[in-house]
Amino acid sequence: MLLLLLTQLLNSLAFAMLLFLLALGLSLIFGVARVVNLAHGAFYLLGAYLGLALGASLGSFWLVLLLVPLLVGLLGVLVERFLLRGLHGRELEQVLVTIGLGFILADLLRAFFGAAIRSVPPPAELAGPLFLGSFIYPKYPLFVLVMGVLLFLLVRLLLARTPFGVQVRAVTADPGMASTLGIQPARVSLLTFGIGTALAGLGGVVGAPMIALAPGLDAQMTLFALIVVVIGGLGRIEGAFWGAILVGLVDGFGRLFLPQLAMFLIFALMALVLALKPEGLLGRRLA
Amino acid sequence: MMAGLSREVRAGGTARQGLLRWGLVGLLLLPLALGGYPLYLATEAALLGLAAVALSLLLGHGGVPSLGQAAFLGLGAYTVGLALKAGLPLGLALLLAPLVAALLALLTGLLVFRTHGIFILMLTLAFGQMVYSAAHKWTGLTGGDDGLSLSGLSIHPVLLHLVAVGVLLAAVGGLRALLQTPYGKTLEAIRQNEEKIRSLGVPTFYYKLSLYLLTAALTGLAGSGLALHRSFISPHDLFWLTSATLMVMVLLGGSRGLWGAVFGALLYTFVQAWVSSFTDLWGLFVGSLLVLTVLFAREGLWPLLERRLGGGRGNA
Repeated sequence: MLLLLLTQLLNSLAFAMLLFLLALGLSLIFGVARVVNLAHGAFYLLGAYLGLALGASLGSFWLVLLLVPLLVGLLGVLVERFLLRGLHGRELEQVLVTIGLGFILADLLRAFFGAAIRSVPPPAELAGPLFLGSFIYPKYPLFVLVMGVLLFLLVRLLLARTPFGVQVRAVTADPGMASTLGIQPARVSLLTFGIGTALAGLGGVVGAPMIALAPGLDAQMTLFALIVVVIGGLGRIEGAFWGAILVGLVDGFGRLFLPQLAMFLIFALMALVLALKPEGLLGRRLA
Repeated sequence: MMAGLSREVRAGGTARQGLLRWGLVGLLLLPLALGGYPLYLATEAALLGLAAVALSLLLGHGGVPSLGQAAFLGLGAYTVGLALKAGLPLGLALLLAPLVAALLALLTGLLVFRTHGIFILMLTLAFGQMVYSAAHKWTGLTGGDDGLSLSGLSIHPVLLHLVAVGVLLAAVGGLRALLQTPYGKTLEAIRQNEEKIRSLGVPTFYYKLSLYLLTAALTGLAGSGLALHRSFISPHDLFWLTSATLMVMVLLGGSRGLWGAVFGALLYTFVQAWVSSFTDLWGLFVGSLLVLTVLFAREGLWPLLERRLGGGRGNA
């Protein structure tokens, strides 16, 4: 029983790290560009399918892990520049454009890769289980777990210490003031959008061996990411991190103990947070 | 977007504007003469039009961007379906549908309206998807993926169409009258500057919540009509693609004045029928239409028509 719980704990945390990748991108983009990117799940799915296609032709998981986020991020940059920039300050219109874009991407992926469920094997180095005495656990989720935590620490450090990180924080706090200080919010916004979508693409590559690819996964992932940021609070990476862990745990243990109600537990959690603290657990009050 | 409160221009323009509206009603009624598939589509358009009018009121006049309308549509449909299966009379079933939809709106609205702006959109989307996954997973009640069939019932298509158009016109008329009352004017003011109105002591939360309940009930009614019309309810109609489709209809026609939503629904339904004859890339179609509408037809097509043909201001 204890081993089962431990296994489920690790599973939940690995899934949580995947959610963190998504919520981090969503949160960064919202903070800087004030756009809620509802195409986020579609970018995730694009990353996953690109990973599948490139993995088959390149043969190296690590190369794919590097290449796919670049490609997806590039698409993100193009979207920001040519679709969203012109709608600056018109929140609703921007969100609607991302919704439309999400539907377009997801449908094109379905047309191209078919509607069949595809499962992706983990790379050879990370396949198979790890033996720790009587406890046996697959290597891959552990890799995702470690990567997620490292990424969280790295992004925190980058935001705190690098010039670009400072610019991102400045624009998040007050774009008008930031631009009087010589920061170009438009440029920061463009790069952040690229980074955010690249993170979604990375999530797709990393997540594919854990969650089988199928049409409709995009909407599911967008929804998960939204719930995480609503619970954790938008615009802060700590909110994305702890929100993801909370949602991951509730989802994982919900599936274990109340499989019929797992999804509703998450909605109940969201409702509870909204009732008590509408700005999210770690969020700042937004007008 | 639209400066100032909507004030009808009572000039020569209104007569021609009225003509334009009668033309729209005529388009809705014309398929009665054709019957068959055109009539089927027109009934579909009238019922979806009712849901679009509700969203138009909510979005264009209340300033509430809801992306969870599919849940109310679906809840209305399932309520009628299940009530009829349970042996309740049709009248009672049609009464229950809007009530159940309004109940969901009450439960979620209490939470949703604790936030503002874009968060409302995110939360209505999340709660809408909650209802979708319930409909999908609760197979004992809804039949899950197999859907719910209402085969035993037959309403004459002409009768159904007349009732649908009648309800739609009554809703547009009633809601446009509502917008002229102090309640409607207050909603309009809240949309323009909520902070200011709240500081005047107006309980804006309850204004928005009551509007949400009203529009949910109307959408539920539209959903019950769709269930009778299609004699089949699929959980996939509760997916957020449907909410986005309603959004497309409203934006395509123009989010203000409610006539735009009717026009948008009619246009969308027929274009969709045409497009689906050569492609099944559904999301691609809705998505492209959404992006193009937002980028190029910001006000919607109906105000454009009113200005071109009606000589009016194209507002309200």
